Amino acid sequence: MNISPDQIVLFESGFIRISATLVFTWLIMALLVLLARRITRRVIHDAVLPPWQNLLEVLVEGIQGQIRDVTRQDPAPYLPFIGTLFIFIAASNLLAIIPGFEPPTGSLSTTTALALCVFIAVPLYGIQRRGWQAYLKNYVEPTPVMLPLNIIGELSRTLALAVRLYGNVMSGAVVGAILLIITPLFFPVLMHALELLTGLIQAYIFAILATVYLAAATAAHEDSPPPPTPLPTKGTRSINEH
Amino acid sequence: MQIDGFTVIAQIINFLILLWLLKRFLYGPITGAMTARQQKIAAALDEARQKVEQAEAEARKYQTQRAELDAQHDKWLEQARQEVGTRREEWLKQARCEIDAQREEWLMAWRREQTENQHTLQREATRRLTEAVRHALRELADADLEQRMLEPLLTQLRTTLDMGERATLAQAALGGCTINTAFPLDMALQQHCQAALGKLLGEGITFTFHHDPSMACGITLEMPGHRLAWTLDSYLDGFGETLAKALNSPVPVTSNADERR
Repeated sequence: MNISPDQIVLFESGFIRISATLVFTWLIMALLVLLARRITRRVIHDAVLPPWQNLLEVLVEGIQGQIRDVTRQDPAPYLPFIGTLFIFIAASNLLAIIPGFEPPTGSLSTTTALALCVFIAVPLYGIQRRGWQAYLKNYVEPTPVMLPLNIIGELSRTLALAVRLYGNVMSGAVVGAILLIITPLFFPVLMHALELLTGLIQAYIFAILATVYLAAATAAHEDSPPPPTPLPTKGTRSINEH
Repeated sequence: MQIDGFTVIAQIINFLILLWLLKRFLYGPITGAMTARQQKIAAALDEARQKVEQAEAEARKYQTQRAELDAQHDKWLEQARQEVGTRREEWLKQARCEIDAQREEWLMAWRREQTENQHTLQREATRRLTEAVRHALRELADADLEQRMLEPLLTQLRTTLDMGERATLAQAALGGCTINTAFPLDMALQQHCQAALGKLLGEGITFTFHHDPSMACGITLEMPGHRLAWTLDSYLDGFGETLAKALNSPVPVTSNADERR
């Protein structure tokens, strides 16, 4: 039994090692891009929308609302990054319901890559918004003694991001496989349904935590008033790092 | 549990590619459509707001105009009422005047008619009474009475006529004098009459005797331009005038018009 799709190697040549993780990732990418391309080929600006465009607008608007609630900033700069994280992880976790599909998020390499993306994006957004000095000054506050702890905090939260997502998805897949062996009839179905919920929650948690990190890096000393929030807010600020 | 470096790098690249693709094919068009719709809705709302403001301004304008029209209407109504009242008073006054005039005219006509009726009645009464007396006297009169009436006539002519009148009558008698009686005079009386009148008026007068049965009783002398009568008719005419004067007293008229005022 493979606990990670990384172990399913389809092609290997030297350093290049094409595993199931990459293949399913490409499948997901292709599926998402094709769907998006098909739906947004003819975008309607009228009040009456096609159902799929309406669904995408609800999704994008929901993500924008969450970003706005957490960062108290204009969500436009963060939308592609946070939205892609959420959509990719959610699609990966939801497609796990398909038999034979190995979710790429069940690979520690994938979750590490996503966590590294967050790890790199946080200082990039912070420096872009606040400048070098203001961002780096954030590491020596409240006192320079806190510098090592802040650096460790940055690394540990990146590690926590990666391991949390990997652990949840991998555990779900492993538990499902074990239950399939023990009780092959009804219980695995329930577990799969539970996995769908868990997968969505994990995608949400990953995206929200990335947003929180971005907000902390970009708005630590933000004095400007928060932008208006046209959408109803949800209680997302109570979610803390697990 | 192990991390494959190639997979990590590949997944980072995959993620960045997916990010770019979704930004191009998903977030861009969707946010663009949402922004366009928001702008469209905002424009529509703005237009609606402007229309509402315009409508409110129009409503205020119409309300003002309506208030002005109401005020004007009230003013005109009040003026019309005053005019109607004034006109009514004028018409009432005019009608009263006309009614008074008509009533006065009617009263005058009524009085005139009453007077005429009264006069007619008086005349009729006088005529009937005179006729009755005349009839009675005619029934009672005879030739002797008439002969007896001749002397008073001659006496009256001698006593009442002054010289001027006598000369005038004498001058008129030269044209002929006709003596009318109700009954025929005998020859002696005719001669006596001729002699008395000749003595009074002068000689050379031609006398013609004629008897008129329509006369009640008495004698008349007719000369060109003059006529002297001593008959019961003249008495009766005098009686009738006296009776008419006695009956011609004003009739008291009670008018209710003054009371109605």
